[in-house]
Amino acid sequence: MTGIQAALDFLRAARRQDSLRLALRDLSGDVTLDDLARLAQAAGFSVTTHDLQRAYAIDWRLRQAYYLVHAG
Amino acid sequence: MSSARAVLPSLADSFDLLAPSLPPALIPPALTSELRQLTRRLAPLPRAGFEVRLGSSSRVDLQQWLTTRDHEPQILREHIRRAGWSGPTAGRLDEFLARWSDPADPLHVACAELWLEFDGTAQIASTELPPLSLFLALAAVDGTNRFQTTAAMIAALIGEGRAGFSRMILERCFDACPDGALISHVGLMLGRPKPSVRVNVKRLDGESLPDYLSHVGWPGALPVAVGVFEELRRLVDRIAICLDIGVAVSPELGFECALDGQPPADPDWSAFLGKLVEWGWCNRAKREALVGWPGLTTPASSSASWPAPLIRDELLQGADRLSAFERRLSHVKITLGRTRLPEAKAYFGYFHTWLRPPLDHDDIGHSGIDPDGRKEPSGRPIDRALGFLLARRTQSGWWRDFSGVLSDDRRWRAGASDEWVTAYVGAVLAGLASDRAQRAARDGWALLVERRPPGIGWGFNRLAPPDADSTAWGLRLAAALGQGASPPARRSREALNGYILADGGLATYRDGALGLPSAADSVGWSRTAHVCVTAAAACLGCRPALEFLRRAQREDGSWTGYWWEDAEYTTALAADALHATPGSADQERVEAAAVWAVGRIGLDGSVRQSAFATALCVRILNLVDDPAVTRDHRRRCIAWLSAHQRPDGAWPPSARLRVPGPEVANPAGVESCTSTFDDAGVFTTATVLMALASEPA
Repeated sequence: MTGIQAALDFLRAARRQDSLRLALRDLSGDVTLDDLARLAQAAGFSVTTHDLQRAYAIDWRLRQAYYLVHAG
Repeated sequence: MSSARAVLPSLADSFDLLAPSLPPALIPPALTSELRQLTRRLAPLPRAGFEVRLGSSSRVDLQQWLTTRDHEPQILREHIRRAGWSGPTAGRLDEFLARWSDPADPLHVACAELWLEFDGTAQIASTELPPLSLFLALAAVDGTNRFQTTAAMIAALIGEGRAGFSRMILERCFDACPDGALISHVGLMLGRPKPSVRVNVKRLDGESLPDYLSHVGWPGALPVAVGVFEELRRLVDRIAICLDIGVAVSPELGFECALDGQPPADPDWSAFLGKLVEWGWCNRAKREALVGWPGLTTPASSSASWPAPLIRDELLQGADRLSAFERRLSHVKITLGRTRLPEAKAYFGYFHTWLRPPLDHDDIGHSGIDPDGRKEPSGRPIDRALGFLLARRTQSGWWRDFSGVLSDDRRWRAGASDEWVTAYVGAVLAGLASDRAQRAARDGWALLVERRPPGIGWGFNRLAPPDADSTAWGLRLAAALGQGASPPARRSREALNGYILADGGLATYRDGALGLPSAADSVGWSRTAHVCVTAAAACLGCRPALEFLRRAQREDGSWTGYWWEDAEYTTALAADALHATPGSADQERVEAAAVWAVGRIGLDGSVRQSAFATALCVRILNLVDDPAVTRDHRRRCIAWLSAHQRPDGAWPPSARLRVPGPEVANPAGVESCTSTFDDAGVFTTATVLMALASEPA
């Protein structure tokens, strides 16, 4: 799987998998989108920085609908 | 894992997200481009502020501010090194940041925030620290000499012997603060050859201002300063005065004016800025641009790339935390003495925030632990509730609530209520045997008297027409303070008579007050008797209102109101008014109300988990002459209320207003009424306080 769907999967996995969370923690404070894309690729997600950016906006919107609108 | 990046992290990472929202009327596109150049040279803290002139000048100054949280001093120190800023000012700033970030250093707690204001957008060499002023937000720390600590911070930032200001005058500024007032900020104008100092003084009032200015040696015209202060005080919630100190106190005097809310929910901003336009101090296009600024910039609304560090931080938190930037207005500063007309500047900006679902306050109440992990505070519920209410007043002394979050997630345009809420809360506090409560109630009465011309009564807020309910509560406050026969109260009492309809009940608005095209458009609000409003007015010696209430009681013993979802409110007020009459028939009506109230109380001791409705049932039960009859029910309600008081002393907001259209005479038959609640919790807390305080011995 490639592209935005893979990036969405990476974002969800990054919230659940301890190994990815540890790797995220190890990134420095001035992390770049390139760094995040490389981390995703190393974990088996075929994504570009563009995919990540697009997927992040979609993921944000979905969580907003679930947690803020639904919960409110 | 991290790679070197071609472009250093900088303030531009967030500025680029917000730049499309910057209004051209405030920041022309050419300046936005210059600002962007400047932000590329500044530290990557996710927030910035803008200082703009509201007159014809298009000059813009950029501000950054930081706290000791999230390693922010270290981030700035790292940036100073990376950017290669050199020179004595950069060196002293770096040393100050090192001390400020050290919890063992007294500066760590003495300075709450550090603001960097970059003067203009002038191009300078990239290795130089851009010309700037520094502002320190002073923390309110007990047991320390604030002047000494502040002087130490100033010396650390400008260097010994470079001061271009009188230390003696600065000390006088601290010493001259009357009780309750304080120096909130000091500013250091480092761009000047001999740095001068700015002091901001908060919480002065019209009485203490002239004494303070005289004492510190301000050379300007006191009557002018007091006149401007009083004029502005009517329009805003808080004013800080700003004095510049060199070898003497400068004749320039600033008034930093702030409002509690934000537009568009708070229409007071628009009204305030409108006055500045009227006085010629603000350009009309700039006013419109300012009120349009507040809002959110989110990954869903932004076309620019979201900063990767924020994406990483969000992934490491719960999925219910959402990264966003909030755009806010901060304040407007009016400065006298600099130009022929007073000069007005506005301050607005953005900061990163985490959006989260609202906390469940009931859970907090059960656990006894607030979100910061503090233990449940001790003290009687009444004292804690009073503490909450006193703390929730604006600087002027108003209580505000019902900002207008509607059930369909929109907000109403009316803005929060201050007149009605202040009258209500004041009336509650005036009935308490507490000096602090009495003083706050008297202050509230003074504000109401001052707000509108005599004989008009009061309204929902300053922008709303007067109404019978707010006027009745204002008069109840006056009566509780022993001011019922004062000229302002007598004239407002006459105004209240104008709301009485032929059936003895009171409508909320006078005919024509709403400015609607035809009388039929407002038949519900101005030609229909409202039982809840009539019940509020009945105890003011209004005989037709009492007669109306006797007829309006329902078979089950309750009264239902026009504006309230809970019949407990109207029933409590009506029963209270009839309880004060000598007739035995009225006592039977009160007992019928008490029987109804008992039936409302659930097994857990609450009325539908609502602190507001539960407290009102307690109030009804307190009216029964034989307390033994209702003691157990009262005890269960009070136990439930005690368990659900929040650590801050408030109860969860639960006073639900319904808002039928003005043409609706009977809201019970209308399913589509919008509703709102007291989102600040002030109204509910005052109601519970009133119930607890009215408990029979």
